[in-house]
Amino acid sequence: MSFLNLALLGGAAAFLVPLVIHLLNRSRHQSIDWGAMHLLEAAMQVNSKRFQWESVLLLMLRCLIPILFAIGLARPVLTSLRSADAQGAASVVAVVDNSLSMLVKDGKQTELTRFDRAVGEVRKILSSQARADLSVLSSGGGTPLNEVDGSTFDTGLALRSLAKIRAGTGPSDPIATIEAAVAQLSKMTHPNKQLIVASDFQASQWGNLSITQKERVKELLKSSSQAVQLTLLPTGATSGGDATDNLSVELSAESFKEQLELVFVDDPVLIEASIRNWGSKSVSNVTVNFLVDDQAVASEVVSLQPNSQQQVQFACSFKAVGRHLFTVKLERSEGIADQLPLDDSTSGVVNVHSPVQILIVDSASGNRDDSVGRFFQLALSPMSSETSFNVQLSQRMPPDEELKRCDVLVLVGSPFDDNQAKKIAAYVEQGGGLLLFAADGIDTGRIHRMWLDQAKMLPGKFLDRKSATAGQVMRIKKQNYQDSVLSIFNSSEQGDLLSVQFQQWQPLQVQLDASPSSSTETSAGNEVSESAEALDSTTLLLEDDTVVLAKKRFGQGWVMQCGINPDPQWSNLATRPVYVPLMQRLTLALLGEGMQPPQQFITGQIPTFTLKNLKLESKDSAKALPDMDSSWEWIEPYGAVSKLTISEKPKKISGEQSEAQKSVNPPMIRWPGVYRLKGPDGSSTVNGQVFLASGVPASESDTKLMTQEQLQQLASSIGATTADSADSFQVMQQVRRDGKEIWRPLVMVLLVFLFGEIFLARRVTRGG
Amino acid sequence: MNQAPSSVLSAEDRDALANLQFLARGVVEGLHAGRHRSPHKGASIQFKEHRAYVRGDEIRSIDWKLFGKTDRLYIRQYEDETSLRCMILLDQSGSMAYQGKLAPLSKHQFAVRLAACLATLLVGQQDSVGLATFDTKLNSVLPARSTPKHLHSVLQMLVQSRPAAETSLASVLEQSVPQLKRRGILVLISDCFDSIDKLLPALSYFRHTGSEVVVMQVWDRDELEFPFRNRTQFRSLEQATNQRIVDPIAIRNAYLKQVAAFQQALSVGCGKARIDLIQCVSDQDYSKLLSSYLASRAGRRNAKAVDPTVSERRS
Repeated sequence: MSFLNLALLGGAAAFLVPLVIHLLNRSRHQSIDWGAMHLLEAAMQVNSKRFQWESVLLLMLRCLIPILFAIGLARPVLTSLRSADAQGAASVVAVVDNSLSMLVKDGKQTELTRFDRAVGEVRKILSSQARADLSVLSSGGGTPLNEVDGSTFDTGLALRSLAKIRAGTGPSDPIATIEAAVAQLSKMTHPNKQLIVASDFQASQWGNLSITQKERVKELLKSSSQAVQLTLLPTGATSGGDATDNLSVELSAESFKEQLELVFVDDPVLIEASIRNWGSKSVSNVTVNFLVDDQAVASEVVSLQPNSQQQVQFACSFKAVGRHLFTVKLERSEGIADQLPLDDSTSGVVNVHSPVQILIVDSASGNRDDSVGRFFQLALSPMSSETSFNVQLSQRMPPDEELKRCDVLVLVGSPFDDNQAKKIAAYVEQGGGLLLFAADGIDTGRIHRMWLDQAKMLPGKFLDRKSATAGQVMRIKKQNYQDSVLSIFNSSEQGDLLSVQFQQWQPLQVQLDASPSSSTETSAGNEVSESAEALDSTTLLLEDDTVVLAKKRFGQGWVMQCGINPDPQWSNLATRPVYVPLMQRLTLALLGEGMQPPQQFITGQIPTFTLKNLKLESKDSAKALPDMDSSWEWIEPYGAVSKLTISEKPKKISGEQSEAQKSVNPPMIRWPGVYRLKGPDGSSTVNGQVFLASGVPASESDTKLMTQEQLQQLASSIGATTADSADSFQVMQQVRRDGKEIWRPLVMVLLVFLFGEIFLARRVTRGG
Repeated sequence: MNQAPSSVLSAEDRDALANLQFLARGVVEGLHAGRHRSPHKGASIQFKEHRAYVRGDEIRSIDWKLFGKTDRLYIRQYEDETSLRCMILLDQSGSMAYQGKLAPLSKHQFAVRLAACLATLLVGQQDSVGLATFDTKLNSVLPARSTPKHLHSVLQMLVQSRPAAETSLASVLEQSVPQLKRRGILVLISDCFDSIDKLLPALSYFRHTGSEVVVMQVWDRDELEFPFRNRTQFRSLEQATNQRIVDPIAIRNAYLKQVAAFQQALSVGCGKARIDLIQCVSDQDYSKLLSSYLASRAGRRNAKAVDPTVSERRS
């Protein structure tokens, strides 16, 4: 503690005055010869101890009052609150939350949104920082974005960068925000490191941080060489805790998982949307419009109770092949308040395909009704139609033209000669799908020679056929499937794989360990091949750990090798409920990337498009691609256009040969809405553009904020402080830099002492 | 206090007291028929009650008129009158020496004057009066007599009285029992600064012997109001070693509570034993105090005298 007026501290000696008066009073007394001593002594026995205690207390109060008065006049400063790191110029990182919820206007009086307030307060803070190293981050829609590209000593530049930030992105990730800010601070020069997070602090995001996440934040703040001082600057309604009037719509994830996975022309599709009322008042007459390619198709009127949601379904079909955009949009009647209109509509993209051609070649199908080919045809019959799956069964290989039109070729055994084997390999390499079943009479020698030794197309080598010992059967090993093909069989809804009993099977010799995964899932979920010779994770094992199903990418197509089949002499697979869905899943898995359903993106994800996926290779070949690098455009929902570059990844094709796989990498999706990837002129991208739609998680529409108490608790648990405004932040900064003057609380204590002295003096004077 | 006996009482006091009529509430036994009723039934003009005749009663006392009316023998009984025999016990313990700054007399001086008034009054109406002074024991005793010469001796003894030593009221009362062998009136003039638990049984003894007891408790105004402000050393008047330095303000309330409790206990105890308790303050006019007390006694006597008349009318 230090004093601004140290000389005045000498006034504390005035405490001697009451002390001397007290001592003088004690030393002087009159004497009286008294008769009623027994009454006097009785009274003294009752009163003396309490009176002595009160007298001492009164004396102490009287001595303390001049001492406190002198200390107050000397203007004490509590220097223990002063931080060594807070001295000198600061490195300041200001994080502005520009997520969707920041567009809410709290209260009826103000026209300012939460974002406007945040920008205003941060502007004040940045303007007041002299000689500071400044950086501004916007935290919404995924990993925070550095708006000044590093840091700057130019306050004007920082303010201009701040002014450029727009609100309305997806939610911000608290942990990622602090990680990015601390990382930025560690690169900055001044040791006084200040991190300011200006946000509305939604209860659904900041209020749900786990203990582990809070500990992570604390570690982050201390991990830097100089501790980071984190200040939370709430810009929402100060009361917090109250729900605001808000309606939102989101597409059901189930719609994408089931209905929109594989859509064909004229296929009936049911699209489901969830309408939610986050407010505390019921709303009625909300019109839900359904638009396909910006054309209104249907509408429905719904009413919603407070804090409830309702599902709305729209049936439709698509007339043309390619990507189509559909939108669900809410239209409020007058009088219905909605503080966040931006989440009133959401869009999705559906990829509509032409009918799939599937050719089954089984030489035994002409002689036997229970041949593998016929069983397989039977399995696909539920989804066969002229508009979707066209399944043909043949005893011999088709002509070349017919093979090229075919999307999936199913071979039972080896109904081909060496020449046809080469054509099949070429067919797969160009994007076709091959499903090869082991069967009676299979010529494994030719298969291995043509496809394993020469083309290196097969996932593995067929071993000798095995049979179950007498009285025992072989079953599929129980495991939890992680791949997209077999994962639906983890639950028994689609049938139980373990119920299948095998009498015969032909194991595959594959090298699983060398290639644990042939594809990686990007955050967006689009599959990108990293190694051509690597196996896919789709693998089926028997109880003795022998592999009977393996999948491998070859060229642009897929090969699936199967050591089991539905022949009744091999297994009872054809009679099990799991048979039909299993065969359908295996077939769909071979359709290739061109048939992959479009993902419904959410903000914060990074999409990746391989050029094959965009079908650029079909016309001009890879040679033309470098010339078109500069002509790819990424168009964001609000019209911002950016040029995209083509990245190249080294990719092994076969053996030592390698080539680069080219892909287009758009930036992170931050805004909800519809994005467009526009190909170069003359490219064969579907419809000339690739649509991509993103939405925000429902939690972003929950605009309820943390209360003051909750925010204080959060701040204390992560080692942060809170500031209501830029002014209070600057006061806190001053305290950290200079310490805190405490004359105000001293005056309060002095007043309490004065009142206490009056009370005690009256009590003592009254004689108890 | 070395005054001539005549100086103990001023002329004004004597004149005032000469007009007082001391009327005892009860009848005391005495040798001389006087102004005071006797508990003995005898020849008197004051009828008391009828009683059924029993053998041995004098024939002359039979109420023949009543016999004529009721055909039964009743005896007429009359109140007897006798002279008063009063013993004054004067406290001259150290505590009686206290005299407040504003008080004209010390408690002892007040008590002496009170006793002198009383003795003069009694002798003046032919009653016998005795005097005993005491502190821890009886110091001087003058037996009860009614002659003017005896009054002189009484006043002489009062003049020579000096307050000193401690108080032991209970033992003094026990010692004074022989001085009041016959029923009479015992007047205790003291501040009663002793244990009430011992004092009251001793006084009650005299009540049981048929004597009337009057306690005149003498206070100084300071003792009742405790007006001290400054830090004070209180030195005991009875024990020289007992000294207390206190802040009077701090203990005033507690002291006054003790005083009230002491007065209350004495008052209740006296009430139960049918002992007259007169609270006196040394700055009071003692002649008025006496006259008001005697007036109240006369009032009680007259009230009591109504009852026989009623019973006579009924009979």
